[in-house]
Parts: sequence; structure tokens; C-alpha cells
Amino acid sequence: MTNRIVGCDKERLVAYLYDEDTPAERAAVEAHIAICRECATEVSGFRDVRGRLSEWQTPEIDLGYRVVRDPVAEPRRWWQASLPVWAQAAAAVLVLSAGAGLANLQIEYGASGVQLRTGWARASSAPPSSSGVTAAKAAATPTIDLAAVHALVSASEQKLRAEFAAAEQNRQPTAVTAALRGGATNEAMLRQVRALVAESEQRQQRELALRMGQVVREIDSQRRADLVRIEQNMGQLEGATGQTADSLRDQINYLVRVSQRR
Amino acid sequence: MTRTDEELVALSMSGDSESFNQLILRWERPIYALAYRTLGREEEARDVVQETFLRAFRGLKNFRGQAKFSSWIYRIALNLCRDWMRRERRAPIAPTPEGVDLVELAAEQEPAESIEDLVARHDMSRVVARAMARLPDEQRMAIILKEYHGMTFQEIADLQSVPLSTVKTRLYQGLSVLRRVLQQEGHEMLRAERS
Repeated sequence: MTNRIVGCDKERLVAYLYDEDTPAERAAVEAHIAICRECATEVSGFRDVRGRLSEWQTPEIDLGYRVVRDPVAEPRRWWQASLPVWAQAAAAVLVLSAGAGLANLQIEYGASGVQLRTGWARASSAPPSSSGVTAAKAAATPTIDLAAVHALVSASEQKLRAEFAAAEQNRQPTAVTAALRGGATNEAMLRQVRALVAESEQRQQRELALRMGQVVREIDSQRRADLVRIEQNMGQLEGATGQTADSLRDQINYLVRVSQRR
Repeated sequence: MTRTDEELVALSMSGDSESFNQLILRWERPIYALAYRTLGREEEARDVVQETFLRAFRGLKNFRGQAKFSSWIYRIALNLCRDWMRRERRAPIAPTPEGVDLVELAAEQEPAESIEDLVARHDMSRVVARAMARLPDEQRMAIILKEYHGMTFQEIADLQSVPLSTVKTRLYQGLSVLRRVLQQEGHEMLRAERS
């Protein structure tokens, strides 16, 4: 007798629905829903809901997560250890100096410009001189003539300044002033101004349209968020109402049972 | 030879990270499905999957094998989902496949499925997702664990740390709300088709 449903037991209905009850409990529920139309409708409705729930698919995506361990770092040898910057710079200067010394590097500045020479056999590798005087003059020339370098830098500076000034002059005239300088008539000038005004209006209209689009999108997203919130609240309200209705129904069933017993 | 979860856990605990990768491969999709249906957001569901396995990997030494490995990671994932919902204080969003080209999708599906069937299936999926989003969190989680992960009442009770009867009540109430909502949606869809 313990397995017999007295009244409508929702927990047993759920266990029956999901097939998580004993054969005896199952038989009791089946006997009950054969005579209780309300529970029979409920079970049938729940089965429909379960059928529709199976329609909810998740997106097919690639996940492919993996755990990757960092390889254990081996201690470095002394020659692999990184040197401080000052030591690296000193080493670079040393290497360059040694290289220049070995190559017998010589820098000369003369009438033909800067000349770099390397190698020990200087006499044989030097370009042949036209006369003994020029050869003697070249030998007497200091390695770097500072006055000549200064003159070269000053000339380059002046040239650059002149080029910058020319570029500045070319950039200044606008469309309107160009038209005026060209000796355009008043009508031409008016046409020019009208064109500029029209262009400005078009630009403003485009900006307005962009702003309007942005505002519409913002309103739409806010509306969607509000709708979701309202739906959530409605759902909770329905859940609470359903719960209250269930407890009322249980109480009525209890009263009916008690009154029948008496 | 396929190793059991417990064997893979034991190997992972001894430092074999490849065994843990096999566990990830086995469980990442169910965990993703759980997070996606609970939160309704694809990116956040991915984050939950990543964080779940990261926490599991870090906490392996604390896993004593009293529960199944799957129950353990389900619990981690559910807690992460709860944290996320609490932090964001947002309702789950019913995912809408707006960016999906149904014609392309139909070509990828089995040839028996027509574009009309596919559209109907997508509509139905959306309706169900919307209806589920209206349930209170705990009812929704109970239904997801039961319907899509085939857990027993007892397993859900253990995961949610509530008595068995509470799980049954949550399922009953959730199904009742879904029944009403889906009936309304059905009427509205019929009305829309007629108009």
C-alpha cells in the first residue's frame, strides 16, 4: 500500500517521467493517471516539452584546448650569460679598433673628396699620381681638414634651408586664394564659394546620418536588453505563481481527502 | 586501448600532461554545452571551459577520487557559471543565429534535410532557448543537467548540494513553466503564420 499514490504527487510524476522509479512505483503512478485527468494531461504535456527541448542544439565549434608544460630551463654556461650593455659597447669598440688596426685603415680628405684606404702595401695600392708634386702634397695633407668639413656642412645647411622655404611657399595657397590670384571674375568667385558651401552641407548631412544611425543602434540594443530583463522577471513571476498554485492545489486535495475520511 | 577517466587522472597526477589532454578532449564538449546552455553566450562558455580545465589541472593534487572526475569538473564548471551570473547580474541571453547563412548550413548538413526543415529547426531551437532563459537559474541548471547530460536525480542533488526532493521539485516547476511558455510561443507562431 505504500506505493499507492494518494492524491497527485508531483515528485512521483517527475520520477515516472524520467524513468527513475521502481516498478511498483511506476505501476502506482500509471494506475493514478488512468483515473486522474489532470495528472495525465500534465505527464503528456511534460513529454511534449521534453521532445521540444531536444531541439536545442549547441553550436559546432572547435575547442581543442591543451595543457602545455613549459620546458624546464637549463642553467646557462658562463659564455652564454648576457653581458651588461656597457660591456657589450666596450667589446664592440675593441673589436672595431682591432679590425681597423689590422686593416691599416686611413681616412683622407682632399680636393677629390673623402678617401678611405686599407691595407699595408700603401704605395702599390694607392692610385697613381699624375706628378710628384701632387703626390707630395697629398702626403702632406692632414688626415681630416676640419675647416673644409665645416665649409661643407655650412653649404649643405644653406641648401636645405632654401629647399624648405620653397616647399613652404608652394604649400600656402588654398583653393580660394588660388582662384583670386588667377584674376577670376566675381561670378567665378561666387561659383567657387557656392561649391564650397554645398560641399560643407553635404559633409554635415553625412555626419548627421552617421550620428542618427549610431543613436538608432544604441536605442535598439538597449531595447533588446530591456526585453531580456522583462522576460526574465516574467519567468520568475510565473515560477512563483505556479508554485503558489501548486501549494493551493495540494491544500485543497488534503482538505478533500480529510473531509472524505470523515 | 581506451583508458578510464580514473586511470588518466592517476597518470596526470604523476606528471603526464598528455593524459590530462586526453581528459580535456573527452570532456571539453559536454562542459562547453553545459556552459553555453546555462549562460547563453558563446564566448563566455569558451572562457568557462578554459577556466574549468585550468582549475582542474591545478587542483589535481587535491582530487582524492571520492567523486568521479566528471562530477568534479561539472561542479567546477557550474560554480564558474554561477559566479559569472552573479558577477554580471545578467539574464542568460537566448542565442539567436543571426549571422548564420542557412543556405550554406543546409549544404553542410545531411542531404535529407531541406532548407525549410533547417529553418524550422533553427526557429524551434531559438524558441526553446528563449523559454529556458526565462527560468530561474537553479531550475534551468537542473533541467539542463537532466535533459542534456543525462544525470540522475542523485547526481544533480550532489552537484547542486540540495536534497533529492528539491531536485524533483525544481524539475517539476521548471517543466511547468516551460510547458506554459512553449504553448504561448506556439500560439504566437501560428498567429504570425496566419497573418
